Amino acid sequence: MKLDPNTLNKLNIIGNSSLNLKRRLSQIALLVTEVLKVDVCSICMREEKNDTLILKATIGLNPELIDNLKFNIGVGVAGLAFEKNEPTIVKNPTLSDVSVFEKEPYKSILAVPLSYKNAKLGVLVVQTPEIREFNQEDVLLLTTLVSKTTGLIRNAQLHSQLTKLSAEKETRVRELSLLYDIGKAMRSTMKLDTLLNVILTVVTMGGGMGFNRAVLLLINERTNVLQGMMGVGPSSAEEAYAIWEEIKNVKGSLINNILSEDVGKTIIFNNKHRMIENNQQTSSDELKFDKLVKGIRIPLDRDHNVLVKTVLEKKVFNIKEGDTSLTIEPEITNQLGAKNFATIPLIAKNKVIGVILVDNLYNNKPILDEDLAFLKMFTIQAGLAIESTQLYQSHKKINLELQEIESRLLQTEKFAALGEMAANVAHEIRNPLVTIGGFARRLNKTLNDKEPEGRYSNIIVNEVTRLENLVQDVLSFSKETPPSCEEHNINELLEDTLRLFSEDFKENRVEIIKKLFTTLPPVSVDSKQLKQVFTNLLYNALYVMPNGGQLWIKTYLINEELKQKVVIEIGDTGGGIPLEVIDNIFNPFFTTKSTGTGLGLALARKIVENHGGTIEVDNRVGEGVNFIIKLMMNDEIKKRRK
Amino acid sequence: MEKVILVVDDEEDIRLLYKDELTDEGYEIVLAENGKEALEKIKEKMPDLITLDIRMPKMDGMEFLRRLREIDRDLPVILCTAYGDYRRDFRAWASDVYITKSSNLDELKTTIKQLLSKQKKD
Repeated sequence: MKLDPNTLNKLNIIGNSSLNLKRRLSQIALLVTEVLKVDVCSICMREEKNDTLILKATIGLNPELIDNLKFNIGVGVAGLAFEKNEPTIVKNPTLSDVSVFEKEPYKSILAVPLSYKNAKLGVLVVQTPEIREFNQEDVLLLTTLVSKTTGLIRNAQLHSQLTKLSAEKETRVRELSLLYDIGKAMRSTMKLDTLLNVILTVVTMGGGMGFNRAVLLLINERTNVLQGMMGVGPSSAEEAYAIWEEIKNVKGSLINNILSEDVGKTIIFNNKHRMIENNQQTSSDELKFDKLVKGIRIPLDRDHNVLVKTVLEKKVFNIKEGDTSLTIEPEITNQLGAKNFATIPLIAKNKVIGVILVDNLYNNKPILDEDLAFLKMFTIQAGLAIESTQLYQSHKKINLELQEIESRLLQTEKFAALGEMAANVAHEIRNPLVTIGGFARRLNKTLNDKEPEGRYSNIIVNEVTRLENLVQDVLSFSKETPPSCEEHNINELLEDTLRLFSEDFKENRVEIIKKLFTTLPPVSVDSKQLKQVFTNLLYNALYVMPNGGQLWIKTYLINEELKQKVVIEIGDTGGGIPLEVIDNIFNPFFTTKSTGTGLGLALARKIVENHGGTIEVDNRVGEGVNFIIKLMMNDEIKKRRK
Repeated sequence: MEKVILVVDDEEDIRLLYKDELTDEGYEIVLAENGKEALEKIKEKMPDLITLDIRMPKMDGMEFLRRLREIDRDLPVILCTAYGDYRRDFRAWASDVYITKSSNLDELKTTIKQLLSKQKKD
C-alpha cells in the first residue's frame, strides 16, 4: 500500500528531527492519530531485561503514565499483539481482554507490533471511545505506516543507548581522573594525620563522594584492636545543610583546590568543607565527633561486630535500617547514631589495615551499591597510601635512631681522643710539678712560716699539690682500666672508706646513720675502684654539710628487670642540687665547688658502669641528695662478660 | 757506712732534687741520665738501692731492669714514674715497688727506708 505524499513528508521530517527516543515516539504517535483519524495512540517499548512492556509515548492518555505503566507480554490487547507479532483488533473489550491502560472507556482497540529486522521492539496501540470498525484497509494503512517508522524508532533507541553508554563512560573517566587526583593528593604527604584528613574529606565532600559522614579506623597490631583514628562530617543536621549550601557556591574542582598548595601549607578541606589552613579554627562541635571517634576501640575478637566482620571477611557491608541479618552492636548505632551505614575494608597489599565507615545521617540518602563501587576503588588507594605513610614514619624513626647512634659513636671517639690528649698533657705536666713543688718544699724548710717568704713558699707548695691532684684525677679518669674483680663484701668496703672520713664528719657535726643489710652476699668488684667511688661520694657529702646534717648509708638487695641487684645508697641533708644543674652533675669537669676538678662524679659513674652497674641521683631540692648505686650479682656479671 | 742510692732519670732537675733531698736523709747519691749510663755506673760500683724512671732515651727503665736482673736478682728497685699505669706490664713485677712521682717525696723516702731495712735483715 502506498502512503500519500503528505504522510511520507511528515515521516521524513520526523526522521530529520530530534533523535531523542521519547520525542520521536511522540511524533510518530501524533502522526498516527492524524492519519488514522483516532484520538488515542500509544507506543509501548519492550524493557530490555525482562518480559514487560512499558509505555513510552502517548497522545490522548494521561502523560503521567509514561514510564510508569508496565504490563507483561501477553497481557491485554497490546501484550497479545506483541506476543503473537500480529495486529490485533478488539471491539467492546471485556475486562479480561484489556491490560491496565486499556481500562479507559474505549470501545475499539487496535494494536500493532513494532519490529525491526526480526527484533521485537514494542507495540503501537490506537483506541477509540466509540465503536469503530477497523477494516482491512485501516490495518494495512497502520502496518505500512508502522513499518516505515520502525527504522526511525530503532535509530532513536540506539542513539539513546549510545548516549547512556557515553554518559557512563564519561562518569568512569571522571572517576578515574578523580582517583588519580586523589592519589596525587594522598601521595603529597607523609604525615598520617594529614593523609587521613584528606581521605575522609574526599569521602564526605560534595563533588567527591558526598557521604554525610565518614569514620576511619585502623588496626593496632600490637593490641589487636580496631582503633578509631578520625571522624569527619558535620555534627548536626543544621550544620550539614549549611555546608551543602555553601558547597554549591564553591567554584572549581575541589580536588584541584586540595592540590594547589604545596604540602607545607596544604589547604585541606576540613570538616566544615571550608578552606582553612591546616586545621585551625575547627569548631568544638566537629572536634566532638572526631573526639568521639578517637575513643572507639573494638577488640578484633568480637567477631559478631560488623566492623570486625569487615576486617575478618575483607568484605563491604551495606547496612540498611531494620537489617536483622547481622547483629549490629548498640555501641555503633548509639555512638555514631546512624542506622544506615556502610563499612569498607581498607586494604594494603592484600592485608586489611583498617575500616572506613560511611553514613548519610542527615540527608538519609540510601547508600547505593554503585556509590560503594567507587568507594571501594578509592579505599584500595587509601590503604596503600596509609601503609606508605606508616612505612615512611618508621623509616624516619629508624633513620633518626641511626643518626643518634652515629653521633654518639662520634662523641665517644672524640672523647677517647680527648682522653688521650689529656693523658699526654697530664704526663708532661707531672715532671715539672715534681721539681717546682720539690724545690719549693726545700725552700720552705729553711724559711719561717711567719715571714712573707715563708708564706710564699707555702703557697707554692700547696698550689703544686693541688695541681698534682688535678693531674691525677684527669689521668685516672681518662685511663681505660677495666676493673680487676675479686669477691668482696660491699659493707666492708663501705666501712673502710667511711673510716677515713669519720674524723671529718665528726668535725662538721654530721650524724652518720648506717642501715647495712647484714647478709649481703659477696660481689665481684675491683675494691680499689669501688672505694674510689665511695670516697668521691662521701667527699661530696662532706662538702655540702659543713655545719651539721645527716649522712645516710644503706645497702640492700632488690629484684629489678628479673635480675637480682645489690643497692648502695649514700644520702645527705645538704640542701639538694639546684634544678638548673642537676642534668650536668655527672659530666666531666663540671663542678659547683670553688675548688674541684669536676671529675669526682664522672669518675664514679665511669667505674660503676664499667662494673655493669648504674648510678642514679634522687634529688630533693631544699633537702638533700641520695646517690643510688646498683650492681649486678656475680652470675649476671659473668653472663655479661661472655 | 752510708748506703748508696743510684738515681736514674732523664730530667736534670729531677736528678738534682732527688740528690739534694736524699743526701739530706744521709745517703750517698749516684746519678745516671739513662739506662745505658746506669749500667755503666753499677759496673763501677753496685748501689744498695736504685730509683728508676721509666721513660728515658737510649735505654728505658724496663730494659735496664731486665739487664740488672740478669746480674742481680735481689737489688731493691723503686720504679718512679709520672705515668699512671705500669702495673699491667709484667716486667714491672720484677721490681719491688712502684711509685708515682710527686712533689712530696715523703712516700719515696719512707719506701727507701723500708726496702733498705729489709735488705739489712737478709
